[in-house]
Amino acid sequence: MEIDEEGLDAIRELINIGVGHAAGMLNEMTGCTIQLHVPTIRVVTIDELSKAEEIRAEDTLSTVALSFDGPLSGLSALAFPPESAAALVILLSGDQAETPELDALRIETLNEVGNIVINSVMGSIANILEQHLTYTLPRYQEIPILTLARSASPRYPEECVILAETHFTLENREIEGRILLILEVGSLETLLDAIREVSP
Amino acid sequence: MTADAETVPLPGQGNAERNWEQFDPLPVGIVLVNRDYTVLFWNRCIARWTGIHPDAIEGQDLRMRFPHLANPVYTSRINQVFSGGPAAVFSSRFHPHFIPAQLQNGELLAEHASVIPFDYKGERLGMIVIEDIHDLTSQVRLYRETRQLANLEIEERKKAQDALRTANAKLNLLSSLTRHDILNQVTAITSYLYLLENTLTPGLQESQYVQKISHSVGVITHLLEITREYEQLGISAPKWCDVRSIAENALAQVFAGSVRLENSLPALEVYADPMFEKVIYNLFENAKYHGGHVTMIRIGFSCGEGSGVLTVEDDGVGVPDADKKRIFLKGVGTRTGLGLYLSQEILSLTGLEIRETGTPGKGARFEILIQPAMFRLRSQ
Repeated sequence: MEIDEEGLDAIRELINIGVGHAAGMLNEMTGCTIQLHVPTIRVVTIDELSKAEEIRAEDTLSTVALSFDGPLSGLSALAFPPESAAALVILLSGDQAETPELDALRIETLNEVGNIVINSVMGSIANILEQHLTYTLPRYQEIPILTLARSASPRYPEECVILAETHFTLENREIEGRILLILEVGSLETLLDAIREVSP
Repeated sequence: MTADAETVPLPGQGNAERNWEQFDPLPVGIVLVNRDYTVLFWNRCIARWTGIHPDAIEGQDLRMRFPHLANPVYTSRINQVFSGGPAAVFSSRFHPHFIPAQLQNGELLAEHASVIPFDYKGERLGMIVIEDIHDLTSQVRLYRETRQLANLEIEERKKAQDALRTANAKLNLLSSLTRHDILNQVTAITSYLYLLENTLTPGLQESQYVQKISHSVGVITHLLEITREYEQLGISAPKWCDVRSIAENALAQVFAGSVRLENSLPALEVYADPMFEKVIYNLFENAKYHGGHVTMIRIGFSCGEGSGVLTVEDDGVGVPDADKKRIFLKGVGTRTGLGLYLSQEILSLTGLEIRETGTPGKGARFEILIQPAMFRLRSQ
């Protein structure tokens, strides 16, 4: 999938607006000082995702994902290595870290954090589309992102994935996660068209 | 989306049409609100949990009844749902009492809440779903406490193990220095005995006494050597021992080819103290020194009801019935009286047992009984 630098910049900005909004909500909700930013973004097909070794698409991650449908169709997810997910929840919730694994309550908390980030990013995208999308409820899964991407649609080899590295900074710690937008065929064009329409 | 508030019947207005009572039997709290947060429906479950009858709340602003819901932490996310965004979930960690409900014991119910978009007659409503996760919360907290206690206990045990290891190392050092000093003195005694013996006329009573002293000095030296050999007993962690290669090496050392080995062992590994090798060596030495004219050693393994039996047999004189148990006692035997006693101690470190079941006059037969988890058969 070919995408020019201008389009990539615009998508990065949309995601940054979304995560900025999410950081504000998380700060207010938890009382922690959280900074969220997206240093890098790339767009690959699912086929390329499986071949790019540096993405480590077959590593099992803790993910919160929801599907969406409408002018854009696909799946949106926030993914972390399991130990980073647990560390993030422990820092956000101020839990004692004697039991550092993701138990049912921490998964529930992570689901809310993922929900806030994904909703903010999707809100930022829906604003530019000026159209409503329909969504499923967020779901927590421990799954490789390649499997998650392939499960989004049977036409997966041609579909594209917007992969945004996301850094959560809180209490002098940096926790790396990923925001994934898996777009069904044609959806990326729809998004880029909408961006072009509002561009000066 | 255009809100058409007139199409949504407020409570008491055209309720028959809306059919929301279908949510009544659900085991979760269901509250329907419009974008003004006016409660349109309050199901039976949430009514039971809160003690608030639907008639007492439907038509009212939810935020008036529960003021914390007017906080932007809630409204900013719920408003996103009204504006066409995805459902908002509220975890029990940050919002344990989304709609406070008191349990019979006075505690507040732990809740997981979701606000889900619900389109009704062209208007976007919010369906608040409240799930009771009180039991789950208690179970996870109990699990965390239990795990924390277990971790503390493990830490304490590790500290105790480290202290024991240090103490043991010091004792071994002391024992090694003492042994060294005693051996120096024994060497001196041996030298003086040699000189003394040379000054005495053979056949004199004094000469016989000197010989007896020499013999005792020899026994002391041998005992000291045994303490050196066995000082590592129980120090290292148990490991999987390859019985076949151990038996072949021990036979070559003890008999140097003078005895036939019938080895029917499978590729057997036994989980034992690293000194397990010494046990097999000892059993062969027993055959050599106590078995008379031993010409054959047979070593085999059988397995029944999960447990295994390792057997070491010879064709010597065997062990009299009266001695079958005594031979494992400390000090019993014609040499140091420690070999079988220490073998039994080595085996017991991983729960293995040894017994003698041979026929007197036909040969000795030692059986080592091995628990199921303590042996494994490798594929050839």
